[in-house]
Amino acid sequence: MMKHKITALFMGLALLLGFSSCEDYFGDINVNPNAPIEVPPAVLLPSIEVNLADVTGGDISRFSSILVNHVRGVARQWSSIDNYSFIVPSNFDNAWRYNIYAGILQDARVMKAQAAETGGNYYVAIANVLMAYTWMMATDVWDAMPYREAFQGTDNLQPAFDSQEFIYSEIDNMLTEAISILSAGDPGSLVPGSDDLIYGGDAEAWLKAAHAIAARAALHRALIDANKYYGDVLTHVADGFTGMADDMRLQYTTNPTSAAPWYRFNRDRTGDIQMAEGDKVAALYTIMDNLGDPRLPVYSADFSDFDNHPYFRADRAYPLITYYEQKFMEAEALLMTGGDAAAIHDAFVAGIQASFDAMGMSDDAAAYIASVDPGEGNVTMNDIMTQKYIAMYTEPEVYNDWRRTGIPSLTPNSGSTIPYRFPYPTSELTLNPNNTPQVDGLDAITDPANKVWWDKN
Amino acid sequence: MKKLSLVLMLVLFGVGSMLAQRTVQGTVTAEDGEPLIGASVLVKGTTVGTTTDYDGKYSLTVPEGNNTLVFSYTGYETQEITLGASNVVDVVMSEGITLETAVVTALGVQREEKAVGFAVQEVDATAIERSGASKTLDALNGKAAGVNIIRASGAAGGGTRIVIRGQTSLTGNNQALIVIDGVRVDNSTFQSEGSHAGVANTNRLADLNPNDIESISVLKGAAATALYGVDGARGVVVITTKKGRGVDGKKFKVDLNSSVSFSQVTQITPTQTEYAQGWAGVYYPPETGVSTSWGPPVSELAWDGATDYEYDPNGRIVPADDPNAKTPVTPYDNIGTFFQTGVAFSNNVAVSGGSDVANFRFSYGNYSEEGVVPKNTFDRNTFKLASDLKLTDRLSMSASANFSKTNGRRIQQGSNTSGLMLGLLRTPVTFDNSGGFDDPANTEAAYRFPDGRQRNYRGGGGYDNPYWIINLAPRFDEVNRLFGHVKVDYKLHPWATLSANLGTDWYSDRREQQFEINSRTAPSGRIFEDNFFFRNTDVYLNLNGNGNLTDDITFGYLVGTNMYDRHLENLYTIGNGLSFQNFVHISNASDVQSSRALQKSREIGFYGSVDFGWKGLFYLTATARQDYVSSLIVPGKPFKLSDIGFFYPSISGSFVFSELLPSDDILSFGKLRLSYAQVGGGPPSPYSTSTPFVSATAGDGWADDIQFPFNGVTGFTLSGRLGNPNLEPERTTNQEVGVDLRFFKGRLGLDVSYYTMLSKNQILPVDLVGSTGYTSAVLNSGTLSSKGFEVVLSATPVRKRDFGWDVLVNFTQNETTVEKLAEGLEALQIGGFTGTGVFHIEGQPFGVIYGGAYLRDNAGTDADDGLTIPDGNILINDDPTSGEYGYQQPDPTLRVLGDPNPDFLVGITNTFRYKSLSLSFLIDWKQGGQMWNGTMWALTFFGRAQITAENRDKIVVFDGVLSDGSPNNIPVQVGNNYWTSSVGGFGSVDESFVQSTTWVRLREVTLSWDFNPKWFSGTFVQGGSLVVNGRNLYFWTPYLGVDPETSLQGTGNAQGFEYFNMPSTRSVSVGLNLSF
Repeated sequence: MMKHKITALFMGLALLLGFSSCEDYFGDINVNPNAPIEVPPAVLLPSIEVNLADVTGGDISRFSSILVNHVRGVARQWSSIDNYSFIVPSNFDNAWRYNIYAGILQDARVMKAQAAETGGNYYVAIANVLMAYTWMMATDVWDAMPYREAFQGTDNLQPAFDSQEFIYSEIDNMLTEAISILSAGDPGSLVPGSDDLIYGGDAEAWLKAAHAIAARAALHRALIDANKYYGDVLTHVADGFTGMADDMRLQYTTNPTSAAPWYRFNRDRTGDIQMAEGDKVAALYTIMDNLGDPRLPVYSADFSDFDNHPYFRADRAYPLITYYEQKFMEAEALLMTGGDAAAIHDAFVAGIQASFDAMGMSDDAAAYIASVDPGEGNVTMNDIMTQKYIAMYTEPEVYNDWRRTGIPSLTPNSGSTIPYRFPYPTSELTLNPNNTPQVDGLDAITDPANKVWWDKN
Repeated sequence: MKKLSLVLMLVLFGVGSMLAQRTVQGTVTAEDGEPLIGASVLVKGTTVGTTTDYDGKYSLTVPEGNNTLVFSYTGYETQEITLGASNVVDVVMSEGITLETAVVTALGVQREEKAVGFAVQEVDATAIERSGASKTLDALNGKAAGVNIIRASGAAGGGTRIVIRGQTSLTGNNQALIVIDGVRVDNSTFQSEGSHAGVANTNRLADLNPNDIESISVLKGAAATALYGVDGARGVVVITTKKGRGVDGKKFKVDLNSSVSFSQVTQITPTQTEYAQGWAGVYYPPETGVSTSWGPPVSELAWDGATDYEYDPNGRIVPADDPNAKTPVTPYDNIGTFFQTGVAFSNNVAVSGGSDVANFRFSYGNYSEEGVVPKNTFDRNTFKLASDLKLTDRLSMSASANFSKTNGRRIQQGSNTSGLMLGLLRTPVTFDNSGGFDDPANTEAAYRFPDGRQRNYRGGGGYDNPYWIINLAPRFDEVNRLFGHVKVDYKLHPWATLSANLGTDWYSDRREQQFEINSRTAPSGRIFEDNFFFRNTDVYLNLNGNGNLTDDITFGYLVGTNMYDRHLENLYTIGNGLSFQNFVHISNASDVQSSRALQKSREIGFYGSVDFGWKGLFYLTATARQDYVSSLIVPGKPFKLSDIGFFYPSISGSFVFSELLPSDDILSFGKLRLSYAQVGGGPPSPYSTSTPFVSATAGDGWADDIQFPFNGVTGFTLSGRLGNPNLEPERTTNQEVGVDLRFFKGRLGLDVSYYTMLSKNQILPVDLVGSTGYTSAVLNSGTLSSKGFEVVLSATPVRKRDFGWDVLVNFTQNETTVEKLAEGLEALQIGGFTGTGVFHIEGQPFGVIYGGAYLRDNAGTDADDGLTIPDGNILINDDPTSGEYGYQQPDPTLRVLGDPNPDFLVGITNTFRYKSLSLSFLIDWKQGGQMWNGTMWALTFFGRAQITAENRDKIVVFDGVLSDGSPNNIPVQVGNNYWTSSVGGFGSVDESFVQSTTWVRLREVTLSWDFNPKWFSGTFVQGGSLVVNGRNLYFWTPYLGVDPETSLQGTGNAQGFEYFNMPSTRSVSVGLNLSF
């Protein structure tokens, strides 16, 4: 009797709460209501592109720009980065883990796989271009990186590292595939549009960008095999950008949460980095000052006046690769392959002109070019690389150029050597210790033995 | 409908009619004839009772049908007297111990103290009420062994952390479960901003008025808590609230309580007052934006008297020998003049009454505080209604409902450019934050120029002027909360009582943070609204009974089920880029983003417990529980109940060995107890079994992130946290042995416990290398072990009519060790900054301080374990081309620098009573534990720390060796270059800033005076008391900064980190209690 009463009471309680079984009670309560399990490529692409522009114009740009003496760290942590003592592994976890591997590259892989399934040919191509760009930027500062064993989640907690040479061969493959898809002109069933924040889904523009990036990838390896790679540069340049309208840029806005990376840094870390403050004067400043470069007042305007800095404003169209860079690449490749003197000169002058154009200072270019132009037949590597160094203010590519060519000659901010590369991040050093080369402290990054593979300089 | 019926059930029960009754009176005395004051007289089986007056006299109206009175008094044996014909009952009580004392154990079950096989400690209402603390957890501080309570901030409304017997979870919640009247009540501390910035948020137990507490029982080991399921593994604080009680001769009793409290800041990081703003001995004025105080001595400077200078009414600062020099500069005392005396008012009224069939208690409490920081306020209004109803001999009900409304106006603190202490301590002494105004907190011109720019020492850049922060960067919040329960008991049979207890806890926590345009945290202006909606339902259905199987064997059992449903919703809207000043509102923002996060989980548990007793000598209790938790469900996988369930048992026993000993006057009672228990657990948060796509962000930690939608385009990214469909339940195993000894009829008591705890298979997000494609994964990994001693010593050296002295000593020693993290994972950061943080490291204590050290000559040799600082000499930089020539070298390997966990805690309470006066003081001694003094670290960079003045520009040769091993002989100047180098502030060496947080503290002093009821005879007043209380009046610590009790990361797991923490406070209060 009592047993029945109790059973009835337990059941009554369950009924009172409205459940007839355990399964009913639990239902789909552990299905995440806040985040979907599947999304279309159109929402992955914006995230990939913004992360790419943000890491390029963020950590990679700031550290590179200090190393090539475009700017100086003058306060707080950045004054220790300026003297290289704080170029430590913990400063690179963010870029390596969040932006690059678990961000851009992971999402691009997912997007590519989804697009391949649903027939989004251009998404496949764009994923390839963006991955190639990202891998190159990363391996250029870190050399060997996990590639073949990467992206396996908990199935491989300690991926092995692949050589930079191997990664470059994969970059070539990605770009080749992208170029072939984009050249074929068949977008497939799923077409990118306004979700493509860089080119608005314009396949032709992507094709040119793929060639420009391929030219850059070849140029980096010029010290490995000058003939082959300078030749490749010229091949790709021919199909690359035809004017500054083709530049690969991401347009930021004045909205604080979609503002450009340098703007956000200067806004939130006001006064940490300047071009010249007190006895800390960037080499770029001195070089431009000596040349009477009219761009100097623009570059060196107070970074703290971040709302008005012409270069570091919130709504900058952040450059990933540009027509002016391509022109300087062309000039270098022509010069180094014994090209036509007029063509060399044209490319050199066009590079400077394009840089002024990009800044909206076209009218100031002629007088300046006249003052720095050695004339047809006299253009030297020093001329080209110095003007490229000036034109590409705070772009990470300058660090690659400087390591390849040693131009311009720079004095270390402290010690006797400017670091040849970035240290590996703390996460890989500590959690993947058996595979990660022990490139951690200042000694390691200034050790010539730890130069990246292509840096035979 | 469910919700509605629940609310209806919470409505007050009516008060039953009074039945025929008689009045009994008498005197209660001790054996020596001295009257006992305040002895309890209760009609057995009812809630009708009274206490004796100053002459030991009582008078009580006894309802018809009841004829037994129970007399009890602390330290005396309880007596039951059956009423005869006489209405006068005088009682003589003898000293002794009351072994029949019941303690509240799991699920609200009362057990005889001697039958309990694990450690339980009770704290009574008087100790809570008279502590002078406005919040329950603060009131518990030092009053129970094994309990570590940390008040994270001196800010009004700041949170408090409670950990019982060390941590059981590497990254999850380690705070004790809070149970009020048998049901779970939420004690979360939600953060709205990064854990080291933002404001001091309240832990939600603060919504309970301490005046409503009848008693607190602290259940420490897993044996006591196995019946609370997963959450119980962390220890349980069981709070019983006050109930109505029949009062002799009157239908109602009214208690009034009113107090006022004054508070002041305690110590603040020492700063220098000798040197001006500037660099390398040169003065730089505010408009240059220079952040540091490496300028010339103030004594060499003068004001020029200019009246057109917006930064100082005294004029510009010029060298003292400048022709324009007018008056010598005197340093401004920005810090001393900033803080105010905080004032808090507390008013409480309670009405109670009842009969033998029904009772009620209604209370209202108001607490209103303005903190030591101007404009920091915290207000709380609480309403509580409790009622018991005896419907029939078999059926009874009880219910309570607690409604509270709390409001805060909070101040930005910690590591953020709008943090109060950050701006305040960095301000050079040559800059007057107040702008020369008498009441700068209420004078806009002190902090804002007419054109809207900020007036601060860095020309509008850098850090906010503190007066700007308190006026133009406020955080408002309001919490409306209802919690309560309904319990029904039905006696089916003498051996079977069926109880249902239904509890619910609902609240909304609505927050609004404003940053006016030109605030340093958000120069373009910002507002966010962060709204939390919480509700839980906690339902218990129990069947229990007990009795004697034979004359020698007692038996008890309990079987039951528990369903727990938790729902937390967060709605967040942030608006950036305000268009104009003086209207910080979402409609004025140019960039608005919203998010919504919902967390739902459900648990169902089935449990049982049996206990046996034999001859009052041996007791044995066994429990078992089977839990099913929703957080183990894998979406998309066919549902199988066994996939989400786990089982765990416990067994405990006690042996009252004193029963076997001949009775003597020395050892009156002795008990040995032993227990073994397991507790299981699911993932600490739901949705850990899958990997979704989440709204994207982009950034690098140096600046605020990009948030999607980006310029109107949505963006998603695959979550960096890899979910795990193969999770197994966690397991915590607890073993305990204890002995409880009472000597001299209970005048001296000693209770010692030793326990070990092993928590395995922990479910935690483990950091992954980026090259896995994820940043973390939820894994079963990690083992924590704890062991510790607890000693409770109680003594009553003197017990006379006019004079008494009681001593209570609580000793707590706990050592928690991180035995194992994940495979291949040796360190896991749980807090702090990049480069210096709080980490879990295998083989180390819980959450050690890990950061940069000086490089030793033994580094990298066999003497270096790669983890701790190796022995040896500090290596000095002897590269003449280096900017740090002659300085100590930083070690590129991060090291374990300190352990924030204390070696032991001691709380000593002495209570002296003289006639109606009582004086009690609690000394709190914490031995060991370290903290990273990030405030001092940063202030050395700025030339603001006191030490930067003590040796400024002196030539020293640092201890250490050169690279050839010879002793250092390089003289260096200790000035701005040194303190801004990689071994100075913001450098990579933290070793020299890790300091001991040992303290000895006068935590609590209470002087109370109970009024003689005779004074009120003939009036409606029955009695009263006056209480004067001091909290945290004095502490001694070697720590060179704010009170080391404060914590940057509030109530979280990462302790031992100080970075511009809000200082703690000391307070004095005066309160008056009256009853009618």
